[in-house]
Amino acid sequence: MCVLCYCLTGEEHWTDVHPGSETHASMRARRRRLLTLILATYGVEYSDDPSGLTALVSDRKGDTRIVRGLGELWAAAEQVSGRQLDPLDPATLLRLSDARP
Amino acid sequence: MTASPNGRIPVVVVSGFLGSGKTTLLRRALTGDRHTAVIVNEFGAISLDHRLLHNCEERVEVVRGGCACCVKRADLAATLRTLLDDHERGRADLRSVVIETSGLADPAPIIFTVTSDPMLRHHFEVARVTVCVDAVNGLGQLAAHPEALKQVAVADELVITKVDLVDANACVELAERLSALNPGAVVLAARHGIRDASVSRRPGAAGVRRAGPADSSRRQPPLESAETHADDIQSVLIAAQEPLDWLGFAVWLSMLLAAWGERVLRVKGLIELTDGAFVSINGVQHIVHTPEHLEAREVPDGPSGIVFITRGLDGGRLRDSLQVFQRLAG
Repeated sequence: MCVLCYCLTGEEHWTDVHPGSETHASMRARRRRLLTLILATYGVEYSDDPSGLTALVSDRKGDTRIVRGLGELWAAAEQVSGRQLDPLDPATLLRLSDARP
Repeated sequence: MTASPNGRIPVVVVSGFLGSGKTTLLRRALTGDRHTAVIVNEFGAISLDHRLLHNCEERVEVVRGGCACCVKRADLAATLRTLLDDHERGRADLRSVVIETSGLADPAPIIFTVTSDPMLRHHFEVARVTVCVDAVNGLGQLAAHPEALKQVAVADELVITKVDLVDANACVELAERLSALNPGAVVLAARHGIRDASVSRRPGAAGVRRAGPADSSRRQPPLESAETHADDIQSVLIAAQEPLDWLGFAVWLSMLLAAWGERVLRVKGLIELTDGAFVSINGVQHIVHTPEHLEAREVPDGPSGIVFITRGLDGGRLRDSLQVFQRLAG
């Protein structure tokens, strides 16, 4: 648990490793933007706290899940969207190709 | 073998189909070694004269919401905790652990157990998966038993055993088959349990090299893929002609494994990032080891790229999908 915000921290997911020289703040901002874009193609809204430790995924009716990192994100987004999130699906790739980064 | 730079005790998983020579290989390798603990599934079938020999009867716990690879070996976790306790109380000087699987076992739950247990993951790390393949029966076992194929697919090191019982051509044929199934693994041979360098193949023999300086006279696609097929298993090599964006890669791979982890038997490789760093990636199904950051001087010469060993996933689509995520992240 974080002693400052009382946030329960989970085990580090492999994607939390930050191997390059980019700052954590920049990486978090880009990650938020990228996940927002991807999940929007499934009608799922994404928002995270400033620490990047936890995030919310919701459908447009407000059905919401709290997730800790990418290890929990995709399954939760599938639950709220009721769809399989498949990065190899041609229709998904087409929608993502049209998305503006 | 000694503790890794991060202080964790290395764990070597030794697997291989029934009668593939695992115990013979281990007996030779561990003669006189008093600092390596050996964990086996059953004492009865083994004749290892070893001080730190532990038996554990396979007992699995299915993780809620997990797939076939996300199974925790409760027996193994308990044995590793006992070993660690003995080590920390000074009852044993533990420097490495070898886990010998049964002939039909899937190594993935062992890797999952070590990498996901909240306590064990801070004290142990899977250094490599060594898989023995019998030179006499190996090709037949690969054709007839999906368990044998899976073991080969998840290996870091493949050891062809009993090479003295077949002629050189048969050995080369098996080595070629193994390299086609798992281009990311080193292929070695062993004679009476002693390693023999005569049949050895470096990983990546299927032929992708790290991108060199850009050739300005010809525009190359940013990502290339090459596929080899062996039955229902495909080895897909994705070579990046340009450095990759880490965020785009990590988000893409995590989404891919969430959707298709049961079909991605193995992912292994080395990627160059846009800021010049190198990262080594190593995963088995849904389980990805913590990526290792390498300095440029630590990057080995020779073939590299990302190897995906899959059941039925199209290599071209993997490449196209990664490319879309790279563009979005950039």
